[in-house]
Amino acid sequence: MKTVKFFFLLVAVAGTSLPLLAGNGSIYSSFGVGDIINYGGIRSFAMGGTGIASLADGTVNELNPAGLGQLTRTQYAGEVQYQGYSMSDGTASTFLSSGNFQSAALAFPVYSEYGIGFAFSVTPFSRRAYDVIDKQSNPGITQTFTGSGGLSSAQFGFSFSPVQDLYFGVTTHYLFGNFDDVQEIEYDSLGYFTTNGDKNISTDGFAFTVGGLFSGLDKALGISKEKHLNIGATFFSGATLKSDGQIFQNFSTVADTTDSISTTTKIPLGFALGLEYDVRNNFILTGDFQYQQWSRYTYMGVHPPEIQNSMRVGVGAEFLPTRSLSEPYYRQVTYRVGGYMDQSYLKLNGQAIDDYFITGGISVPVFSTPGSEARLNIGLEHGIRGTTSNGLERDAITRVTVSLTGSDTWFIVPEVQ
Amino acid sequence: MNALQKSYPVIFIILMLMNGCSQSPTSVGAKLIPGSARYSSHDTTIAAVGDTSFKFSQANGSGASLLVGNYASVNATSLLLFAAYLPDTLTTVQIDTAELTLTSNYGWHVSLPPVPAQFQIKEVLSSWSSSTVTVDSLSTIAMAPTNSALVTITSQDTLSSTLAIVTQIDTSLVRRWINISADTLLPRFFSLALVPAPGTVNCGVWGFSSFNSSTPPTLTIIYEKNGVKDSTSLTNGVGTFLAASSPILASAGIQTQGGISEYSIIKFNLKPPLFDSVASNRIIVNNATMSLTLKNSQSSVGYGSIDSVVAYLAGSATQLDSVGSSYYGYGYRKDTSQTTNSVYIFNITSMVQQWINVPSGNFGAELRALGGSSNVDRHVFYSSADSVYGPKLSITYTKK
Repeated sequence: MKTVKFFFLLVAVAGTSLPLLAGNGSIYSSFGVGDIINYGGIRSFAMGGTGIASLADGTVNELNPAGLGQLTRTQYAGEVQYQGYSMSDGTASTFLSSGNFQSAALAFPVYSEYGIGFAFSVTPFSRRAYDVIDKQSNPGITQTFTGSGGLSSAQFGFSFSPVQDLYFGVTTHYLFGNFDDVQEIEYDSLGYFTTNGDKNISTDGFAFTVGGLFSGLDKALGISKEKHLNIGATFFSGATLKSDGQIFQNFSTVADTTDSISTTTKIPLGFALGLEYDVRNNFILTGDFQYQQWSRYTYMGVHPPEIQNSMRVGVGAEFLPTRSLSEPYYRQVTYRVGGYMDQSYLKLNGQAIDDYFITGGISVPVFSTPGSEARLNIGLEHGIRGTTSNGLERDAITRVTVSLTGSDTWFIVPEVQ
Repeated sequence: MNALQKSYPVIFIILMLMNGCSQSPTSVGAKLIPGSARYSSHDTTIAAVGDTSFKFSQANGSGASLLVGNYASVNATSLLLFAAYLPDTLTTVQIDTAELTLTSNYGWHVSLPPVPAQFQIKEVLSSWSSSTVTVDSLSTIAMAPTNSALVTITSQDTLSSTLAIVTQIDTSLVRRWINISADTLLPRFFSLALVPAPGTVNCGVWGFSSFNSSTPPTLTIIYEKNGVKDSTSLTNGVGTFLAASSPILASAGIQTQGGISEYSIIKFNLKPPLFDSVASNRIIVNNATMSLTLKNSQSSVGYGSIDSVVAYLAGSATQLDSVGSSYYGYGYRKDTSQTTNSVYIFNITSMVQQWINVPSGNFGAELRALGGSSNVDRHVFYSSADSVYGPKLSITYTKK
């Protein structure tokens, strides 16, 4: 009960803090549908964003629904994230930061024999957050550009296992969100009316992820006598999102809607492959590759030239010294590291905008009983994006995610003897 | 374990503090914002394409000043209506004197020549209303001469600091009003008119504080009853003035004059493609300044008056006195030390925006004297026919 209270407290705090902290980030998020967020839960976050082939019982696999197949207890997670952007264009620099509710997830097994499990989660798909001030001297004006919003995915996934070691899963994503881009021109001279234009787009639609996962590939291939290697793959269907919006402009006479938009946004398909290798039952290595065909992305039927196909390669490792509660506390802590390279979907001024990140994190036990456990997770990633050359911007980005994850016997019907 | 749980708030506080390290936004990233997504700022200046001056016969209402006098083409008469309740007990008293006190608050062309200004007090016999009476109806208002003294002003120098002028009123008139007041069957209509005394020429137009001011016209009745002197004063009422000008337009050019409702309309052409009214392309007017150049020698602003003209959005092509009162801008001298060709600047940003939003409603800017129901200030500006000094409109706007 204590855990439940804390869980809901965490989500409540995260939810209420959202409007206070949301806001600032990089101008790169003004393109396309914003910064694409490859978030698969705190474990994945700390392990280079990997987890396509993860079957771990103890976290909710939000990357591959087939990864729900080995759940033994109800899993829950609530997460908040801090983001700090140190940005430079070679002549000026600034540091902007924001905090957001990141994700909440709930997953539970239904029929272990066939690996049937369900998961509900809300997680970000993309994020737009920027704040730029541009001063000009002739005429003396200050232009302000701010953007906020993004796409979220409210998703429902389930898994099943038709034969031993083979798992399949499907996730239905309801993608929804709002993009708000505001521009202002303020004149230095007194008595001048300030230009204010606000473009607000609401968008929503459905997409699907189909996943497969095979556990024990090494044994099946005769390489090993025991199952150490998992292989997983997902296919993201893409989506055609309905996008409606308006452009508001303030005039000295009236605030008016000057344009209404009713169109579609096409999110392209993508696929991912992943491997997970369990070295010694307490040391796991992971590696993922993701690809998304953003060259098919369109907004209002037009493909923006700055959007290109994206690729992402990530690796990670997890080490849990012991699961024994009698061991020293630091040995009960899970340690995670990783890294990834992301050729993002942006290509500006003829130059691809790439990300290079290292990640890490720990997961510390809060309590553990035979029926339930909870862990506090802290994940961190730091990396760079872009370059200061060619008129571009270089971002040094730090993200810290704090999460409470746990498991309990909720919703699980005891087996009849 | 407890220590760990106690650390949760600390973690949140640390996150909040990290967020607090955020700096102010800068220009970093500005170069990546495509030009097509930006608003751009522009300036342009256009000349007026036409103008017209006209006069309306219009009620001046209950303004702050009651004007009387004459100068050049302008002639003004004031009407006062006392909302009097005279106690029945006054019917038996002996009236010693009755005085009308007026306090000056305005003067137009009053300093030269330095001759006394003299005004007659007449009893008004016809009913009138300040909201409807106009100079055109003056001839239909019956007035009776009284034996009152002339209202005489000899000290123009003290005008600017307000001058209280006390004039004896015919006591027989006051006695008659007292008797009317006591008779419930008779209409209580106690009205006076101030008109220039016969032979008074170019004495200037004088203004006196009207009712509802701190120094209203005051009728004081000093009487004696049972050997004891006492007095009663009437300070409530309604006042207005009627002014005429002949000829109506005294000068060529764009002109406004208070009191006689002389207005001007100045037209500017704000049409596409420069000023697109289509919603999605509509430009945002950040500043619009109309500049008019004054013909100083033909213009005159009175004592106690603000040197200003107000420009309203003209509301109709045919009904010239119709204005959109939501859109206006005051015009002031740009350089008050300049004595020739003074430039007046009007900020009419919202008016120009409205012209662009609704091009079919662009009937021009209508100039009116500021406080025109309390003065006869005259401003004469160069017309749009003058390529050098004609009206100009400078617009700063943004668009995508």
